[in-house]
Amino acid sequence: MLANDITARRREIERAHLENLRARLAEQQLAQGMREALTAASYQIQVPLNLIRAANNMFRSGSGHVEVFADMLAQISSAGETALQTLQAVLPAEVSEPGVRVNINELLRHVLTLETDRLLASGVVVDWQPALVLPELSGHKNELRSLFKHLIDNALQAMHESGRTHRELRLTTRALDNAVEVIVEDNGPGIPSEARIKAFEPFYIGWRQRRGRAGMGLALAQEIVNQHGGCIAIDSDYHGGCRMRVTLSHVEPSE
Amino acid sequence: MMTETVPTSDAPEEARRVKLLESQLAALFDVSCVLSRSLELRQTLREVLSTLYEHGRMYLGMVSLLDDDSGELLVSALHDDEAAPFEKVRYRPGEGINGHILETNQRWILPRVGDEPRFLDRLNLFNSNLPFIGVPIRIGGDSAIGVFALQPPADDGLLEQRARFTEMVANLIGQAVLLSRSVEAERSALREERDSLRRHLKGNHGFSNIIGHTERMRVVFDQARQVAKWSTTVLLRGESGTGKELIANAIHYNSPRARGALVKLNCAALPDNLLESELFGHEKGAFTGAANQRKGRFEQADGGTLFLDEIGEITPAFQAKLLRVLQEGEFERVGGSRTLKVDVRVIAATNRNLEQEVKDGLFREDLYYRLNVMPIRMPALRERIEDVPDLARFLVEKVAKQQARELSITDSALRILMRHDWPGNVRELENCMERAAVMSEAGTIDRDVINLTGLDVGALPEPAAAGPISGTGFGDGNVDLDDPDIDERERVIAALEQAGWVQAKAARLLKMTPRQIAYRIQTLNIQVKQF
Repeated sequence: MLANDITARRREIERAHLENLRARLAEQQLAQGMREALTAASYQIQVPLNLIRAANNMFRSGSGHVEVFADMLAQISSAGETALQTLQAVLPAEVSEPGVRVNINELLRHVLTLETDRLLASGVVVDWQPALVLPELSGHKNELRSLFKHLIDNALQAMHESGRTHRELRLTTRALDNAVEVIVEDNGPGIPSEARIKAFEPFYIGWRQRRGRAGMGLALAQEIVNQHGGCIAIDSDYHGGCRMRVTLSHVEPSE
Repeated sequence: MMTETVPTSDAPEEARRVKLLESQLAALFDVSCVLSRSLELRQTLREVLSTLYEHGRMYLGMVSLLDDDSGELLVSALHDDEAAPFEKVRYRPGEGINGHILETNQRWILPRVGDEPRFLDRLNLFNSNLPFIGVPIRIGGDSAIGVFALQPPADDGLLEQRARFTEMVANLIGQAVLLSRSVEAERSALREERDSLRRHLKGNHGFSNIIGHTERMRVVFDQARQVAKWSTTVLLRGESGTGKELIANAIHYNSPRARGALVKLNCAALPDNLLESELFGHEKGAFTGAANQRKGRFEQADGGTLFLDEIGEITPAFQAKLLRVLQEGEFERVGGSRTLKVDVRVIAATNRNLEQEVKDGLFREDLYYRLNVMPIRMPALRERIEDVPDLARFLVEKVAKQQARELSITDSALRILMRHDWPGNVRELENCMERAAVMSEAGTIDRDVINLTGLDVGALPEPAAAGPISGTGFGDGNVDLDDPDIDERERVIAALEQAGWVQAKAARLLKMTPRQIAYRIQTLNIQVKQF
């Protein structure tokens, strides 16, 4: 009886271990695949670029002929076209998530729980002020979680870079008519006013330590907010750091 | 003069009193100046206190105001050189000297503050050996909303005068608080309203409000979605009525600039010189009639998007000016010399053949290249005829909402619409639906109603020749005649269409005799196509 119990538990542990391994492997493969795809993409783009460069040099030295150049231009176009098509073909399929009724407070709490270790490690005081009553919205749970994670990660990174000892993260939710407002506030260095729109562009990196960053956080956040019929912006009236205002309204159930 | 009315023994005290009153008058003048300077309450209060302090180094002061949410007194401003972390201090009602003053709504004068057991000395600010004057701050003579407290340098027997002065200043502060609170309340109400309107607008201008399930429209949506993320200039091309403005709206409201303004201007509507002052603004007196300085559309759109419709209509001279803004983001107002810099995304639209215009020398080549960074071509309606049924239903619903009545469109009507080639694109379809809605008394739009709108159905080509029609169940002639859901009239019309309007053939399809179908055509009042 006892021996059987132990065997069962062993098996259970082994299974969990395997599961973990599988997940890690899948993640690694995904990351590697992404890297490989991006490297290949940069290489593909080099072909038309090199052609342009060559043509440019020829013309600058005054030895280029217009007829040859017209031919060259056609080549450049077709090389560019090919690169574009290859890239679009390897684009991973969009993962669509079913729309369900969500409670924003609950989702924010999930993300906070996930981040607890990091928050404790960097000594951040969290001021969590959820609205007592929030209207339930229809939305995509995982996407919204990742939206909040992006914003909180940004806030943490900002406070980390500020080097301040007193670090405060404030999360507030507020009910609006037919919508919910989420405010994420940190007391980091803030975002300069001229970068407040640019920060949402893909590849924008505002951090001092730029290495290994893709600059996609806010671009992804914007995309998720758009899908939820919402709005995201950096509050220009706030000066003690960065204050993100996100409003989310009802999203139409996707077909 | 004064020596006559006052005994000589009191002369030194009287002189002191006069001196005090004079300095108080000067202080009051300065305080009133400070109060009228700005609406930022905290800053103003701090300045008032420091003004009082500097005036003969007389007063150590503090203003605390009632917090509406917690019902506690919060220290809003105090004068001290190292007064940074004062926000932590708060008094509950009745607590300490300040709490007591607030509760009783009466002034309180203490000759030596250290003797008072209620004195808590939380701030470490007041000297316990000096006198203390605290007065309530009131708005309109009612209950107290805060406490103004200060400490004169020494008890010189003039505490009563000082207290009176303190009350005067407290009244002034009360007015400032009232003003700043009402302005703040108004501002936040306006902000809320603006945000809610903006949310509403955004809801009406997303991609979900543009109908299009065809491949060509999907390509357009994908392009627009991508381009929304960047601040690149966009060129929208396509015939008139294809929905260029809708796409411009969707790009704006899905971009990080969604909170900024979307400013629209039709370039064809104005002559050159007006266009320039409209876009770039003008200084006062720049030209006859320029009585005021005026902001141009570019300035209005700062941080947002500027939609320039009919960009192909502007003259080459103006194109050069536009090119500069697009390249540098810089321009000058008409009649102005100051260079203004704006952060605007430009979406330009045209239905012209720009390549031809460049060739003819009507459109600058450099501007052409500049605009072509991200061109999006809107397909004409005849290139996406499969979208017609959805579009028609959407438009009918829109009209129904406007007219507040039930409207529906039948399949036979949709089939006719799909055979038209729509030179005026969606706009033409929309007009057609509006007309049909007006003509249809019963609220059902069928093929006869469409006929009445002047759409020349008889001249339309047969479905086979009508172009790329496929796979939607309309127009391809494969309506299921046995479908129990369609009504009798629809069934007969569908059969006639499938039979090429040969009644005998249609009768066979419906498993009827020619007589039966002729009778039905008559009773159902179906207009037979003439060949």
